[in-house]
Amino acid sequence: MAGTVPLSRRNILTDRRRLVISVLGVAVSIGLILLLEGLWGGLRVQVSSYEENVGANLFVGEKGVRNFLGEVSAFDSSAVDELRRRPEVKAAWPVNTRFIVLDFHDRKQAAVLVGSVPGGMGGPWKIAEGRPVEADDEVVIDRALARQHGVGLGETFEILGRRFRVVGLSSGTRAWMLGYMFVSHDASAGLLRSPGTASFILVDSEDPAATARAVREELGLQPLSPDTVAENDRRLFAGIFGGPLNLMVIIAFAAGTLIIALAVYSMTVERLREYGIVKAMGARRGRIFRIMLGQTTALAALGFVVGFGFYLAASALITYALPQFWSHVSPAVVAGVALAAGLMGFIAAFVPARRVSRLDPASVYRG
Amino acid sequence: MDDVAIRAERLEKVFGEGDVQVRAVRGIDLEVVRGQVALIMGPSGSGKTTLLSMLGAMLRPTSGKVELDGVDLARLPESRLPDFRATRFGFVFQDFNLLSSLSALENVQFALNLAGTTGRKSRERAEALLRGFGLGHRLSFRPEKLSGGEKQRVAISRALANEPSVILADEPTANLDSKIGHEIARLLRNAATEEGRSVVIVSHDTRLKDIADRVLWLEDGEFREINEMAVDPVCGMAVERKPETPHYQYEGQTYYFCSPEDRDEFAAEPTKFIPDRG
Ligand SMILES: Nc1ncnc2c1ncn2[C@@H]1O[C@H](COP(=O)(O)OP(=O)(O)O)[C@@H](O)[C@H]1O
Ligand SMILES: [Mg+2]
Repeated sequence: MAGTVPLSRRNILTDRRRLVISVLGVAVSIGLILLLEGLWGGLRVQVSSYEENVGANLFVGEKGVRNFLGEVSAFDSSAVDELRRRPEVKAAWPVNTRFIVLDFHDRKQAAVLVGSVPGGMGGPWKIAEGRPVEADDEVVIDRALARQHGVGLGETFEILGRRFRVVGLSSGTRAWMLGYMFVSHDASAGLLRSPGTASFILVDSEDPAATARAVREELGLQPLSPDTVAENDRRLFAGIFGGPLNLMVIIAFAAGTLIIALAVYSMTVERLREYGIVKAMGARRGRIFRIMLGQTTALAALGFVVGFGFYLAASALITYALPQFWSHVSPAVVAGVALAAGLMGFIAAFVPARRVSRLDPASVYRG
Repeated sequence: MDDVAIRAERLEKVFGEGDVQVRAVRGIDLEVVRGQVALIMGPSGSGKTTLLSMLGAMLRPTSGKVELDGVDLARLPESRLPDFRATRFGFVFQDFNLLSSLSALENVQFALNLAGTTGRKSRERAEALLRGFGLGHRLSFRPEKLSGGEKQRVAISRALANEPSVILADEPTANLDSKIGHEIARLLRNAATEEGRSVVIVSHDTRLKDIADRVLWLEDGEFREINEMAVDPVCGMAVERKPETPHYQYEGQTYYFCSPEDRDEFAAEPTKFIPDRG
């Protein structure tokens, strides 16, 4: 409302202490929502890191397999040779994958073990320190995982009863909470007691559609595009973590809304008589609502700004202390949370507006 | 054109039903013409506030009608009443009731905003009004920083902002010392005389009689003849001139009191209370 007295702003600025307290409360809720959304975003980006970075344009798995993570696939690796014979196939490499739990200095750690042929596809796509695996007693592990457990280059540790020496640290090689560790294909065959088999064959084909048809019809295996595998992995993790995460977001949203509503409600009740005057003087329902909305959205906007600061601080702290929880918010998510803050303000405005609408304008003439 | 600004006809208000039914206002007729100040007095519970609320389009009458500038308020839909209040009435409340978070200027501007005047126009009008009342140096002060008299002048400015036909004031001088009370009375009087507005005041304060063109006595929801009234010389309240009212004869005159205590106090030393007739 251009050119009118900013009653909303004046009202919320009158009681500075309550303003600060309620803005902090809203900021905590909004910071929490951003953090949860950030973890969620981090999860979605990281969960499919293997599919997106390994360089294959076709994944071949056992029939019925949909995911790279969390499913056991094993089939005769002789299919690799048959695929390599096809003219459109530029490269085909077997990999073994297995979800394992390690004992690290007496602490359990879940990880994804990948066995790939040295020099072929399927190994770490980015080595930060050291070199790739060359021998069967060597391992490259995710750098964040290594740091978390204080393992450095040249050190050895046991995987499923066999000792491996750390020759390289890879970066960006995480499926959210899970870090990858890379060994040779032969070493993984030994560890998993599955010689001559593969979990997946990674294919680089000039005609993925034709190769996929051949995989299905001639080899009786499951062809999957990297995008499909990535989406299925995201869905798998979303199914596990999505529920609790969404619930927490909803709770934080409700808490923020409630804080705004209560703050403005109590400010309103304290000067209820003034609102009676405002009604007696001829303010309609719509104007009363806008006065309330002005106050609630101002609190929401301030809460958003401060909450964004909280989020930045918290995510920096988490990246430092708990690197396995990578948080990532896209501009779209920030905009979405800003919108959610606006919605909090909008919903909250109904609470004090309802109180004032029940106020009889004639009450102002009664002492 | 009719010179009557506000007119009530057989105005009636009944609260509640059955045993708890209260007939707060009982078939009142009232006409206030432009430029006139009407003072309505009466004991507590006699229906003054109820009457004023109905006149001000804040309370629906049970029956009868209220006409403002020829429009019957009772026939207006609920949704049009707020606009009517904003543009046609100026309200002065007991204790003035300014909005505490707004400055003096903004308090007046806010009333203008409600009637649709915004921006620079509202600012200039509000400023002119306040300057006219000698408040030019208080424009940006919040009510808590203003004295009682200043607050009161802001309240009157607010009531006058939209050039209303009618000003309704409920106990405008309550809780004020007599000098300030006198000033507010003068301002209300001027609004009627100089600007041609109708002013209806509800009050216990007999000092307001000095500025009123008419004094009406309300009792049990009905007007009584004013000549049946007398002023208690001890406490200054208006009282009914009838046998059951405490009274006292002195030098051939009958004096009426609002309580036996007042009468006894008077009887002990009448000259202390009788105005010097010399
Ligand atoms: N909203 C209401 N509900 C029920 N009774 C009311 C209401 N308002 C006023 N009354 C009653 O109507 C009568 C007149 O009240 P009021 O107009 O406030 O008198 P006054 O202002 O002269 O003191 C009183 O008996 C009061 O109790
Ligand atoms: Mg009253």
